[in-house]
Amino acid sequence: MHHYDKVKHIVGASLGLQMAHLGPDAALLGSVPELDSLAVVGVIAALEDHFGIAVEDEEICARHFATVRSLAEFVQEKLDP
Amino acid sequence: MNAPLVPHPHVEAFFFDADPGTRFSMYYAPDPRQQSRGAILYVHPFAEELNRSRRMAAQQARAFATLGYAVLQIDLFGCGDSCGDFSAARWSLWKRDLEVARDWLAERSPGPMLLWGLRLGGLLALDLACSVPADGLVLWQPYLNGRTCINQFLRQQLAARLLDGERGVPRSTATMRARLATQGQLEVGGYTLTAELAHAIDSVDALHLPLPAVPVHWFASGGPAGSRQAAAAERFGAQWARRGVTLHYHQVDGLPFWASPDTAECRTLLDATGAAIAAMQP
Repeated sequence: MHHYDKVKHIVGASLGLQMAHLGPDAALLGSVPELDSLAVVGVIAALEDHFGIAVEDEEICARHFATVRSLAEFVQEKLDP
Repeated sequence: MNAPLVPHPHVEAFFFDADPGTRFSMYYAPDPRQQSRGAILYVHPFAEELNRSRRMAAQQARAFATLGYAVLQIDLFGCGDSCGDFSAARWSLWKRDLEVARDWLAERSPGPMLLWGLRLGGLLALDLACSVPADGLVLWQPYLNGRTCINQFLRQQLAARLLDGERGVPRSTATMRARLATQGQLEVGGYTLTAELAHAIDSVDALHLPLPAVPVHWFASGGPAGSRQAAAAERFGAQWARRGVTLHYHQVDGLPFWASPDTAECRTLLDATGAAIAAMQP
């Protein structure tokens, strides 16, 4: 899917993680110890900076942040609504 | 050669007298084998980022000392190991702390004085440079306006809610700001943000600061190349050039260590910063 690799890279770079073991549908929330609230804000900022998008407060939800796949789909929605 | 083994760099932790109370500080003496190059005053980031970035700040300070710089790191009022509650912290107090620290450092190290700031510390360093003598600035992933910093700080609450199974009242940073205005303070991630401090930070915008005509080294770090930050740097570079500022923008792909729960290191940023500073003309 579009942007998946880039989003995965950004999440990995933000968390200092090798993302090989995290598949597209692996749970992000509550399953990745590095992903605490400060790190989440950092991931959002990195996505905003890289893709030139603005994440709205109400878009910070489990539907978008559940997995890397859902995050990539969210980015796609933002870029091409 | 029977020279005594002196650990280098020589680092001293001490408490600095600064009204009110004292401030925890770390002084890194310049490598005596190097020609003295001047001094560098570090300005740390906001709230929890201070704790997460200590290791990187210490490593960079050591590297600067090895180059021949005297480096001072001071925990500002209400922050880190210094006295005072975070809720009593004020931007103006922080600037005063830095003025005192700067004077202390300048007394001991004649020569160029650089201000080095991380994140909000970068913005604070820029603001400081407008009113104290400084010969250059080093900015690590700086906030260029305070409002963005406060917005991101408030966002932590939204992120915490996300991680907590989306329990609790859904909030926006707008409603949080409204609460801050009516209640005078707000708890976020264990930090009490006061309306006064938020307002002061909100009102700082680097674009219109009366900066001195000095070189500014802006290191964009914390992830793969971001288009937005590079565009911002161009805008700022052009605006600041009118004041005689020479902006050097460095894109460094690395971990946003100030947000990482582990004691993270970003070697690429250390190397890039060291190289840029080493190349600075005395």
